[in-house]
Amino acid sequence: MDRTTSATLGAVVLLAAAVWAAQNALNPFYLQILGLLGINIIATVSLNFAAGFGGMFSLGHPAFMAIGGYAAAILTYPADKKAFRIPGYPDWLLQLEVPFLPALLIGGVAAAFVAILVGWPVLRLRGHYLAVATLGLTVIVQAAIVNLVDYTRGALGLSGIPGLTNLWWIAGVLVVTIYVVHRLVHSRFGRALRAVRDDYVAAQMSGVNVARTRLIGFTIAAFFAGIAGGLLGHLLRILTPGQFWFPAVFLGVAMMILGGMGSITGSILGATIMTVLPQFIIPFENGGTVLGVTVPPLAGLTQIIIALILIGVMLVKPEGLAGAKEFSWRAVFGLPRAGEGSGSVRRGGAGADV
Amino acid sequence: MSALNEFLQHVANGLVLGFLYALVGIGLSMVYGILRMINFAHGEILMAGVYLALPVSALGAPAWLVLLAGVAGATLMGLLIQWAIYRPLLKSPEVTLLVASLGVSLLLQNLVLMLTSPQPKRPAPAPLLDQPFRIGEIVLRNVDLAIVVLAIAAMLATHLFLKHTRDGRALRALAQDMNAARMMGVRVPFMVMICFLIGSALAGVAGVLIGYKYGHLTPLSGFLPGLKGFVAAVIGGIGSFPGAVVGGIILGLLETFLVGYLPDALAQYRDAYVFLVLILVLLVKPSGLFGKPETVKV
Amino acid sequence: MKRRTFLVATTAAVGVALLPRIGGAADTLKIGTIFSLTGSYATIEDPALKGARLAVKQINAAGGVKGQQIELIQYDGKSTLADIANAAQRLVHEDKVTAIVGVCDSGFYLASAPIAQDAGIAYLDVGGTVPNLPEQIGEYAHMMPFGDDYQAYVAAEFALKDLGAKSAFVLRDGDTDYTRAIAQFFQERFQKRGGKVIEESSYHTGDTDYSSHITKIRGTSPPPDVIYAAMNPGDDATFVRQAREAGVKIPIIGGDAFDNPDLVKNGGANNTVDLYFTTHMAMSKDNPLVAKFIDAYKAEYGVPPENAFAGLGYDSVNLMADAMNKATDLSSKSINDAIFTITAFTGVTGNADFSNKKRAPDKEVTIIAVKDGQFVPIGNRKPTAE
Repeated sequence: MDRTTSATLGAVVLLAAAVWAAQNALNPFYLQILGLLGINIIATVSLNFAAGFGGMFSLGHPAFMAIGGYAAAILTYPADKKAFRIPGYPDWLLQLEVPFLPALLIGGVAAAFVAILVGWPVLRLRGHYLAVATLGLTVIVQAAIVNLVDYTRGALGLSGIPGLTNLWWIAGVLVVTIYVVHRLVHSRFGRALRAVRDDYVAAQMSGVNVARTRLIGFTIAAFFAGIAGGLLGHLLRILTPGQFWFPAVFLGVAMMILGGMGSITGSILGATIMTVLPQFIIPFENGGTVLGVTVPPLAGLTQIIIALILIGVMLVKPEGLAGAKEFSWRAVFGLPRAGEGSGSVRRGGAGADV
Repeated sequence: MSALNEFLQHVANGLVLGFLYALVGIGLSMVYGILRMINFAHGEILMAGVYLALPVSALGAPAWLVLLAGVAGATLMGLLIQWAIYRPLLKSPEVTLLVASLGVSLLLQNLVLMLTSPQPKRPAPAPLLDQPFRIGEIVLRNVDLAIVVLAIAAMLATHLFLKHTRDGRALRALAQDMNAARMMGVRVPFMVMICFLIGSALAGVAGVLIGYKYGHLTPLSGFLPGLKGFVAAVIGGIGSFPGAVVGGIILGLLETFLVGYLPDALAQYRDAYVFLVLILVLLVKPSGLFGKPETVKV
Repeated sequence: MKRRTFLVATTAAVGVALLPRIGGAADTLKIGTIFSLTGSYATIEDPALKGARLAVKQINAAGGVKGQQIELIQYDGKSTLADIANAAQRLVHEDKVTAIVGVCDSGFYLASAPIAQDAGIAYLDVGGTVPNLPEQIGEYAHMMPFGDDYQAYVAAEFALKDLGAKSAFVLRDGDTDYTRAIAQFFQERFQKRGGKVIEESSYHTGDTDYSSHITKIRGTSPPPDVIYAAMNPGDDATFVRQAREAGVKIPIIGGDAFDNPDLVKNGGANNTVDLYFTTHMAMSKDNPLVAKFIDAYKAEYGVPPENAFAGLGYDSVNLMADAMNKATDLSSKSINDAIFTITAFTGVTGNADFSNKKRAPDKEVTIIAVKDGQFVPIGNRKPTAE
C-alpha cells in the first residue's frame, strides 16, 4: 500500500472518529448542521460531476433531489399513516415499509431513470440552452409535486417521515460518493467525459460516443442527487415542494461555483462555506453590540453577505476558491508527482491524469 | 357573455400581458445577444426601478412623471450593475456572468427588503389609468391601453435606434461578432453600456406599468416578470429583438388561453406546460422562432 | 493545494465548533420565536413578529411573568425549510428556551415542531391553519388560530343561508396548502348543504393577473350566485378590483387573507362592495380590546396592524405568558401542562378554550362585510355540526 492510499484510509478513519465524537458530544443543533453540510456536499459534488467535469450546466438538480427524496420517503413511510396521508398509491405500496438503505437506493435509481428520460432528448443542447431546458425540469417537477396531492401531499409537504438517517449514514454516503466520483473522474470514462466537455468535435473524432457519454454522466449525477434528496427528507423528517424551487437552484449553483467547477475539493469547500458561514452570521441578524457598536436587527443580512461573497469571488477569482485544483496527498507530503519535481500540485481538472 | 366575446376578451388580456413580457424580454435578449450572458438580475432591475419611483408617486406626481422616474431608476440601477460587476467580467466565461447575476439578484431583493419592508406597496392610484376601457363587451382599463401603446412605442424607438443610428448598428455588429466589431473600431465598453441602458429602461417602463396595473409590489415582484421575460426571449429566439416581442406575445396568449380554456385540473400545471413548450422549441428550433442559428446543439 | 493551505483549512474546520453567540441576559424567561422576515412569507410573518414583540413589551412593562422579564429570541426562518428547522434546533438546544411561538405556515410548523416535541418544549403555532395540526406532532404542540375547515365551513353556510346562494365559483391559489384547503372545505360544506359548485379555477402564487379567471366567470351562464376567493394576503384587493372593474357584480367571499387595512384602499372604494370575508376577529374599534391593540401597535410601529397575523402573534405570546403565570413552576413541562388549564383566553383574535385534548382552540369565526369602505362585523359563528 503506498503512502497516498494509507493516507486516504487514515483520513476515513479520522472522519469516523470525528463522527463518533460528534454524535456523543454535540447537541442536535450542531448535528443537524453537520448533517445538512454532508448532504450539501453530496449534492454539490454530484452537480459538479455533470456541470464541472461534464460541461453540462444543469439547473435541474433540485428536481432530481426531489424525485429521490420523495421516492425514498414514500417507501419508508409508516404504513399506518400512508393510506391516510398519501392515498393515491396502489394498495401494495401503501402497505409497504422499506428499510432505509434500499429506499435510499431506489430513490437514487428513480432520479436516474428520470434523468435518462429527460437527458436523452435534452442533452443535445449546449451551454445556456441546456441550462434553460433543465430549469424547465425543475418547474415541471415542482408543478407535479404541488398538484399531485394524493401522491405527495402537495404544497403542505410530506411530514412525518421517519428519522432514519443520522450523521453516520450521511458521512458514510459522503465517503462513498466522493470515492465513486473520484474514481469515475480518473477513469477512462472520466477522461472521455472531460474530453467531451472541452472539445466535443475532437472527442467524437477520437471515437468517443458523445451523446452516450454525456447521458451516462448526467444520469450518474442525478443518481447521487436523488440520494442526497433521500437523506435530506429523512434528516428533516419532512419534504416540501418549496425546498426544491428556485432558491435551491441558486444555492446549488452558488456552492459549486464558489468552490470551483471541475474540482471535488472545490465542491466540498463551496458547500462548507455556504452551509456553515450563515450560522455565524445569524446571531448578528438580531442586532446587538459588536465591538462596542450597537447594530439594529437586520433581516436579510445573511443573504446579502452571501450575495456579496458570490459576486466578489466572481470578480476576483472566477474559477472558484479551489479552481480546478484538487486536494492531493502528494502536495501535502511533498511527494514528487510521477515524473516531475517535488512539491508540485496535481490538477484534477482538464487534461491532467493520475 | 357570448363565447365569441369570451374568446376576444381572452385575446385582449393575453395581448396586454404579452406586451408586458415583451418589454422585459427585449432587455434580456439584447444583453444575451452581446454578452452571451443570461442576466438573472433583470427582474430585480425592474423592481428596483419602480421602487425608486414610489416616493415620486407618493409626492403626488402624475403618472407620466412616475413612469419617467421608474425608467430613470431602472436605467441607473442597470448601468451601475453593469459598470461595477458585469463589465469587469466581460472576458470571463459565460457561467461566471450568470452566477454573478444570480448574486446581484439575491443582493437587490434583500437590499430593497432591508431598506423598505416586506409589506406590499403600490404607486398612488392614478384615476385616469384606472378608468375602464370598453370595446363592445370587451373590458380593459386605460392602463392596459397604456401598456400596449407604450410597449409599441418603446419597441419602435428601439428598432429605429438599432437600424438607423450609428450606435445602433454598432450594437448589432457587436451581437454578430464581437471581435470583428472591435476591430472595426466599435468601442465595446461603451456599447455594452448602451445595451444595458436600453434594456434597463424598457424594464423600468414595464415595472411602473406593472405597479399601476396590479397595485401590488414587493421586493420579490421582479422575479416572475424576469422569468417570464426570459421564457419569452428564448421562445422568440434569445438575442433577437423581434423574437423577444413575438415570444412575449405568444407567451401572454398561451398563458391566458391555458387558464381560460383548460379544465382546472389540467390548467393548474400552466407553468409546466409553458416550460414544456419552451423545451420543445429548444429541441426543434433551438435558436427560437427568430434567432440566428448559432451552435446550440452538441 | 499547498501544505500551508491544508493546515489553514484544517484549523478553520476546527473553528466551526466555535459558533458565536450575542447577548442573552441571565434571569430572563426565554421565549423563542421563529418568523420569516425574508422570502415569500415575510409579508405574513413580519407583522406576526411585531405583534409578538408588542406583547412582550407590554408584559414586561407590567412586571413580567412571576417577577421575571420575558426575553424574546427570534430567528429568521427565511421562508426556507432547512433554516426553519435550524432555527428550532438553535432555540431548543443552544438558547434553551422554555417555550416557542412561531411560524404562520403549517408546513413550516410541521418541519420545526418535532424538534420541540422531542425536547419537551411547548410550541405554539401562530398562523398555520391545517386542522388537527397539533395532533400530527404530539402533546407539546398547540395552535392558536382555528383550522381551515372552521373558516371555510362558516363561509359556505353564510353563503347559503345569509346570501341565499345556490351556486358558487371558486377561485383559489393552487400553489399553497392553505388556499387549497379552504377552497376544498368550502366546496365540501357548500355541496353538502345543497349548493352547487360550478367551477374551481386555480392561479399560481405570484400571479397578479386574474383576467383569465374573471373572463371565465363572466362567461359562465347562468352566472354563479357567489364567488369564493381562496387567496393569500396581498392578492385579495387586486382580484376584487379587477373583477369589479370588469363588470362582475357577484358577491365575493374571502378568507382571513382579506383582513388587512389596505383592502379598501388597494381595491378601490367603488370596488369593495358586496364583499365579505371570514376572519379571526374584526380589526374594528368596536371591541375595546382590539381598539387598544390597534392603537398600541400604531404607536409602536407607526402603522396599524397589517393583517390578522399581527393579532395572532400578539395573542400567542399573551397565551404563553398566561400559561407561564398559571404554571406551577417555570419548567417546560409545567408550562405545557398549564396551557391545558386555560379555558377562557380573551385575545384580539377571539376568545378561546384550550382545554380540549386536540390542543387546537375552540374559537368562533367572525364574518365581516365591507360597507362604505368600512369593515362591519356581521356576526361570530361556529360551523354547524356535521
